[in-house]
Amino acid sequence: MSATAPPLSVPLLQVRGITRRFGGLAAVDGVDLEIRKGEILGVIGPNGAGKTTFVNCVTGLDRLTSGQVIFHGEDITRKPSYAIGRMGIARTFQVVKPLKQLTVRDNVAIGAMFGAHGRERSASEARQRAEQVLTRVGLGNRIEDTASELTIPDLKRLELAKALAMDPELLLLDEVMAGLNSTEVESAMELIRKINADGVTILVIEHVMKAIMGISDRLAVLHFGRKIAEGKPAEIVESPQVIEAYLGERFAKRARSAGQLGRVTQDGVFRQALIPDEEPWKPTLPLPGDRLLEVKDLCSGYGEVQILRDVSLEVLQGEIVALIGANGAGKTTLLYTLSQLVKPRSGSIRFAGKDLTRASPEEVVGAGIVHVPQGRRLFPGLTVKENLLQGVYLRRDRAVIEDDLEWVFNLLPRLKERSGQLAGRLSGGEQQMCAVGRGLMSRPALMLIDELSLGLAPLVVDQLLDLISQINRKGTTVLLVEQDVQVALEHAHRGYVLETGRVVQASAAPELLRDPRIRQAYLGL
Amino acid sequence: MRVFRAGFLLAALAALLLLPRFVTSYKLLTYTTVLCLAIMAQGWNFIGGFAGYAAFGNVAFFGIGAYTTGLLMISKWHLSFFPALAAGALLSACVAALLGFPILRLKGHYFAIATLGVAEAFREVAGAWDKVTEGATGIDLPLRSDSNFYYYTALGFVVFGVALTAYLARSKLGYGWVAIREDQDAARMLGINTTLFKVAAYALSATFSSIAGGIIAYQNIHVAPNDFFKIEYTLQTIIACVIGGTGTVWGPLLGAAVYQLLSTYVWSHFIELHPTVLGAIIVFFVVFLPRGLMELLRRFGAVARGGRFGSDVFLANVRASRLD
Repeated sequence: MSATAPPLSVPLLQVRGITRRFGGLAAVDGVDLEIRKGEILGVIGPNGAGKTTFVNCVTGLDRLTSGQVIFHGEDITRKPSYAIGRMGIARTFQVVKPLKQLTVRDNVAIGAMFGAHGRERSASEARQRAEQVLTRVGLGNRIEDTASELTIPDLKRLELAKALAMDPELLLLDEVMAGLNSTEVESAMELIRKINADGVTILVIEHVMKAIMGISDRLAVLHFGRKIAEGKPAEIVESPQVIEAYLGERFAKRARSAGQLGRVTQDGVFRQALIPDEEPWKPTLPLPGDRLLEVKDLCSGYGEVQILRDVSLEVLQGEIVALIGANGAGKTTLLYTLSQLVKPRSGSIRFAGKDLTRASPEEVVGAGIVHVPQGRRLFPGLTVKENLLQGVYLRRDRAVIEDDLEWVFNLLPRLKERSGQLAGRLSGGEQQMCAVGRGLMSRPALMLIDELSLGLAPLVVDQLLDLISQINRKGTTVLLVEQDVQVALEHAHRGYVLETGRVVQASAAPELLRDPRIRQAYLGL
Repeated sequence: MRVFRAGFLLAALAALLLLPRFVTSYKLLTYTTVLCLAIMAQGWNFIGGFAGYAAFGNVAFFGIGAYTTGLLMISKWHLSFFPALAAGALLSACVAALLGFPILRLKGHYFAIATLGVAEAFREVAGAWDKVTEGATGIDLPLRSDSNFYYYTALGFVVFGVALTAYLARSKLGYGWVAIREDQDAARMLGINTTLFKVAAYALSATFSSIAGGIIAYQNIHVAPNDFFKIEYTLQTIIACVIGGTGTVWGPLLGAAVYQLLSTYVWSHFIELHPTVLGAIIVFFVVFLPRGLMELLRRFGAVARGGRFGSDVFLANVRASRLD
């Protein structure tokens, strides 16, 4: 942290009044920002605030409508992306962009070949360099694997490795920690601090507040494309404007009630402020009823790899059940198997009295199970409204579809504002809302949600969780996968813990929340 | 394994070198044509296989190569074959580079359509530019009595093509192309000058097409627009690459050979249904082996090296190759 930062003031990157318009909409609107040599600057802001567009503008992927970008005193506003990369600015992509058919090593080797020191390296030296970088980010055991085989958190690590291999002076990290659990976030923070200590200046966009508060020397806040605040993290989280636009009252209250706001820059203290020790369990959710989903001894996997091993679980009518486990434990595979996108190898799936073990994916949807997948899987070339309407594909009751659309728009007003826009043009968080909205449109009896909070502002996460409680009260049953174990268990009735493809524990949510083993393994306490 | 492979390759090369002793000179013409298809496929592999740009107009450079070689040989300077061939290749590379800057900005099927249009335009030019190309009649090249010459020339270029592809696949240029194929924005951010790399791939593919065109022109001793600017040649080129394996070193050569074998076999057995049967075979390859025979060989190789022997190697390949 700031202990290692040199005496501040030398600006490495200066951004002067940059604006980027898409049609009539200013995604970035006259932003001035300075990144000082050696610092870690955090950038936060609501979904769709223009954070990613800001990075795109700095790196030349988006052309500026107006304004100026200066790196090391040199105007790089009109430079092509590859030249900016070679000058020493590297970035990661929020929506990961792996070179899918290549091995993990070759993905990173390309960064080493064409980055700041690329000219000095031969192709084989670059491959060696790639292995060093991969070991550093914790992918050392996956060097030979094809990038398409990686899970989302590993793909995030790969993004970081690709950028690091370019030997950047300035590293722009766009949500590299989304999808990591608490323990993994800790190690990612540690890694970013180390990279910074090696002399790399870092701009980090992140919604994981614990992380961004813990590593940033300064924070800047974007809202509707404008910079609304800039300063020390401790000051920023107390700014009423920031609370209203981004953090949300609940988050602020939690932090405030723990009485720690004055010391938020102390990472550990802040973390405790966010995770109140013994919050009494309030059973605000209705009592569950009949068995809706019954899974017995389910096994599945990909190719020669078996992921799920004899998984048995039940979800009762009206419940919210959380699935907890480290990355790679098989949570996503379980959801994929339930919706038949991965075929079960043995075991059985019963849903509302029907045997769905050998059903096709569309029959699963027809039976009333809808899957909100990790990574959204929207149709990028369709508008938001068209995407939502894809959710009613199997429905016959045309008359009420309009009402349902209105209902989803009311639940997620941002989608209404964006209803005519192409889904591919939405910000990451807006895409997540759209995916949830599309799921709701099919009026599911059971919703499988994979990584609800991925890439979402704290305020929006709260809203979505409220939304889930709300639809749950109206009768929708939910099976939730969520890296933020705390949040998941606070909103669930029960939880199952998965480890290496097996269910190792099943209890009521409050019990899991108090369980010291769970707290240590998944909450990083 | 390595020794075995090297031995196999040397034996194959020796067989190819000795081939003219054992076949009639008429038959040898066919083999030369196959080698030229392999050269075209090797060229297409750079732009289509490595850089991932579906070029559908490479026959334009085949034609340019044929005409330039021929015209320079019968011009008042009476250039000999190789300088004329080189001039054609250079011209094709320049044309490809100039065209590449605008059309390589297009993506996917838009790029394919643009290249298709370019090829048609060149055919029209060749047919209409009477003063130089003698229009639809075409031009006649000097006759050469030694028919082995064409075969060995083509074989030489095929060997060169394999070596060059093998070298480039491990070079920065090759890595850059593959990065562009996989994700262009990611490639740009990794410091790759995507425009330059794409133009290089396109120009290189044009060079190879042009050389194949020159050799065929000299062998046929007659060049006419409708024989040399045939869309079929582009299609055969792409099919050869797909059958063999796009983006691989040996794929284009293997694919060209297999395509020719299939085509000949189908000709002799299903004379009336020839295109239908051949089409069905191509569909089979695209559906079940979209990454081509090289990928299948790679998987069998992995099994031979001590991997589990499964009857499902083929199915695993099909599954892994599913295009999404």
